Amino acid sequence: MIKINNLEKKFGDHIIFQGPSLEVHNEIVGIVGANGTGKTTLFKCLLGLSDFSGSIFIDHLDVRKNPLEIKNKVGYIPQYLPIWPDLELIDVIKFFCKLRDVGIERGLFLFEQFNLINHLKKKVAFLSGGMRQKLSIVIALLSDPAILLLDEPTANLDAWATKEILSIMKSWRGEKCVLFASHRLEEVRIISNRIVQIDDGRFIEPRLEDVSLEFLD
Amino acid sequence: MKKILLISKMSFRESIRNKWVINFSIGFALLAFLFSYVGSSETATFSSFDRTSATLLNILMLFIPLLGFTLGAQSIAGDREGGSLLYLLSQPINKNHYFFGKFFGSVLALSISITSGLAIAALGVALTGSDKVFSFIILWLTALFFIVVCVSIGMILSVLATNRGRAIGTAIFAWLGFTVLSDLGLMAMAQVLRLRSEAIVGLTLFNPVEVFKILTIRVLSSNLEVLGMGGLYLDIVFGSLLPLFLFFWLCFFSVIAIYFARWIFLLQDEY
Repeated sequence: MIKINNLEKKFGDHIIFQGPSLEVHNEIVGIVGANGTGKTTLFKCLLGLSDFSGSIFIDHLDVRKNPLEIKNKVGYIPQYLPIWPDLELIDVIKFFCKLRDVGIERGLFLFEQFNLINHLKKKVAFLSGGMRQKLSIVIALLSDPAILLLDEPTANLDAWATKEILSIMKSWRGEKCVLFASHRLEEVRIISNRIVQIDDGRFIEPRLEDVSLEFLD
Repeated sequence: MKKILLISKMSFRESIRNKWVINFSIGFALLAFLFSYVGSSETATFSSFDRTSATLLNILMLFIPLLGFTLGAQSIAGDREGGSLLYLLSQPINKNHYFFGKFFGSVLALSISITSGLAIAALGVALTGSDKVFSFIILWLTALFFIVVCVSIGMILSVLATNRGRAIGTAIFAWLGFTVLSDLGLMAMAQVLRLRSEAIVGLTLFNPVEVFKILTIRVLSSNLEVLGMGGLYLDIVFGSLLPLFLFFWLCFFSVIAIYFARWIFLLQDEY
């Protein structure tokens, strides 16, 4: 569970958040908002990587007081996996298994589950966008976190890969607490249980059926 | 500690594949071999060790800061630019794990690169039947220590730079400053301000490249006359304790640089 209370954050004079609150349980919450409204900053605050006022609790743990425990409970999936293109997948997964204190069997199990097992010797640079994103998901799921943060995970993908990633996400409904930031309103509407729009430093919750291009007006 | 080692290992792998490290290492190895082979020129055979070590010292004074500054400078700035800084920090590690992992990985990569170059030069020296192996080991050890100092300074540049290009540019500028411009600046200052020798020596000590040079020469040779007035002055003041003083001075330099870089990095909120 994620509990955000009176979140305040600013960069110099530029206010990003002016006191919004939010609670997320085992559901998929779509985060929408124009560029620069603070979607990625929200994730940084949740991961304890950015200073803020107010409070954020993840599974009843204060983000500021328990940064390492929090990171073990959270899986972060960025828009594009930015790691070592010349490394083979097997080396990547070994590294992250050690970093997350899980056995390599867990990594191989997830590779099997996400159809990456036949690409263990492939270098990250040679993965397609969809496979790269699946690798990102595998890394995020290594310690079986209850919370997943997805920062525009489909932004660089074609329609086929997007569909695959969205169907993976659908399987988390009701099982994991997911925050999913995206610019693609249609995707957010299809996949989310509810939607939060970041607007002028506040959270607004429109009805799912209202979310379309007209909603931006 | 385990997490620092993990990050170090990855940073090391990244560094040894870095084209800067590869190119400069090859350049260093070639130069080191060339000078050890034709250094004495008249006989066109391997030179005597003293002459070779002096030449190697001059090459090390150029290559270690160049590689150390650029490698250290790229370490965090490169990750910040590519997005891997945020990604790695989203894993169960803290900023200290990441920072020291990057630092040790870069030091290790550069140490291996310089050790390989020196090993090739040592091969040339060994073929002449020289018995000055001990001196060569001293040169190698001081070089390793100097690598730590240079990477530490590079880390400051890295945390201050917003992208890899700026980091490399600043590193090259710092290299020029420490290896070329500082000498010229010191000479100009001494001339204009009519500085006394102790003041000149004092200012020299703020340049780690000069400190490395004096330390190595002092350890390899009891005669500091090659360093001119400054060297002689230091020898008179510190006597046999001079190498120890210079060693601790370089330690101090490195600790201050690393502390400062880490302090800035911990304060930073942008990834």
